[in-house]
Amino acid sequence: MKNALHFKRLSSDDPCLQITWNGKPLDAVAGETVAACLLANSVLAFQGEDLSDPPRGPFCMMGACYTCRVLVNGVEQQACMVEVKQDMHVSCVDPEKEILHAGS
Amino acid sequence: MREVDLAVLGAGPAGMRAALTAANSGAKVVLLDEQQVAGGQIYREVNRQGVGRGALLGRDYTHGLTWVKEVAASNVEHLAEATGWQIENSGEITFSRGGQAQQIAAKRIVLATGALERAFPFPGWTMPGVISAGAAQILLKGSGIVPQKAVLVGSGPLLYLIAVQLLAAGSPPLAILETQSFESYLRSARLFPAALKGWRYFVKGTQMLLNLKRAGVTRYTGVSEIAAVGEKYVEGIRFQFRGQKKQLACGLILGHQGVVPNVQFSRALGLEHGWNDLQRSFTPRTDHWGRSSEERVFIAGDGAGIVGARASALQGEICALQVLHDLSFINTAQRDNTAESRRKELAVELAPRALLDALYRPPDWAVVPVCDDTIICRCERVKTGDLRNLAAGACVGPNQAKALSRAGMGSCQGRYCGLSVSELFSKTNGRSLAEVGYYRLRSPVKGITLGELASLAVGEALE
Repeated sequence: MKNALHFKRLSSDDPCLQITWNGKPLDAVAGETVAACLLANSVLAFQGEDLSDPPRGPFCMMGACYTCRVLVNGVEQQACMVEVKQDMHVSCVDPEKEILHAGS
Repeated sequence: MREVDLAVLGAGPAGMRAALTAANSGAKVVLLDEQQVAGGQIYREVNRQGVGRGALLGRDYTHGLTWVKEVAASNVEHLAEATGWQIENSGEITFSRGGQAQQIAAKRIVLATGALERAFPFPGWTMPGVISAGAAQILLKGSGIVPQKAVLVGSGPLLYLIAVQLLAAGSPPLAILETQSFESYLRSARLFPAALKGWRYFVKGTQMLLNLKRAGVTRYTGVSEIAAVGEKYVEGIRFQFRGQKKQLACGLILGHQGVVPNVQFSRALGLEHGWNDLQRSFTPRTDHWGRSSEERVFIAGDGAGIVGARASALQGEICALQVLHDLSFINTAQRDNTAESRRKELAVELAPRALLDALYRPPDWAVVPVCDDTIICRCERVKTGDLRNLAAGACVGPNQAKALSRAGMGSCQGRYCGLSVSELFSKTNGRSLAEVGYYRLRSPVKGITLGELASLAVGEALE
């Protein structure tokens, strides 16, 4: 079910902002959280994707479970606690992934 | 350090009403909250909704708007996006705002940090695609995004409310799998007469079930042996229903087993707690004014035992009356006059609670998984079997298990494994929950950066 639509935006307004996820552009709507924006763009796993580690996605949406941690413009934050802003750069925080990249 | 009469942590119904009551009688009040706008999770972003979204979320939700507006118009100093992470018994509160740590000193503190959803561990619950039902509701309230063809699983009034809200948003759930059984109904039936005083809730409940029936949403009552199916992502859900194994294909599972008090601050403060068997959770001990075992610290709302939004608001007011009395803003007669009428309203709000607690009590297997392979501690991926082995051996309890297995050592600081681990120990070695106890929690109760800590030192040097 990886490619099925899991979340739909309620508003029919066109997305008016752009952010990036691991370098890839995504549409965003003002007022939504980074976590909501990723989910609406069918990004379900925020951590561990493409690694031997099982992927992890957000769980509580209220700043308690810490599974939605991402890098927002280079700073580690809970994706459910930050609102999207134009040109925000969001990426995985997996240290293994960074090491892999650094070594490759 | 800046000093105030009262600091309230959490701007949900309890926190807003406590802050307003105290400020309206002349107290200097600071209201700290993590979110951008007041309302808490229950009234989350209620002042930012268009008419349409407000209508689909329902009247009990839009009700919160009055209080949010009142806070904005009052003398309450509302510090939004402020994350409290340390409270000391002396009344010092440390919090972070915009990456900077700050401190204030308060003569009295009201903890109104509400509830967390109870963890509901089952095989596969850590896969992307399993989120808590409350999380789905927050996505809808806060960001206007709606889960598609989700399966709701668990028990409790919130499960139906969310189902109805999804329906109103044009995305009905694929099915509702209810873990309460026929026995749950039998067990709770004797509590029905006493609950009738809260008839408003039953009317709402009946309407919700009717709406779901009319829309053709399938309900399976009395399910067990829940498991998320999928390799890395959710592809379906497996369960047992009336003696048969069933499976539904779905990409999203929304789990819910009610809510439990958020005890992070009350535990870190070392306040006395007791086991509440009816609600299957630990609750801080409070007197009938909401005062904890520490004179300065009060607890209002779900953080002191689950009571719901309206009752939380009334408890907030009652706490504030005693705070005002402590600090000589009002005399005993003034306090008691108002308190009496609030307590009458509170009794009506609390009338259905015992019935709800009994009917939607989570089944044992939803708290401590049957399967040894099921993860209990999400952060550190600690499995049930590992903890069971520890409990059956020489390990004395949750705190030693923490050191031996890393359960509860992760970034959520035990929020989503604490109760399961305590219950696992109690079940395995036959000791009472009161004896087993809970993780020892310490400050900071939220993740903070070294930069935030350092900013505190810089601030002090400047003073």
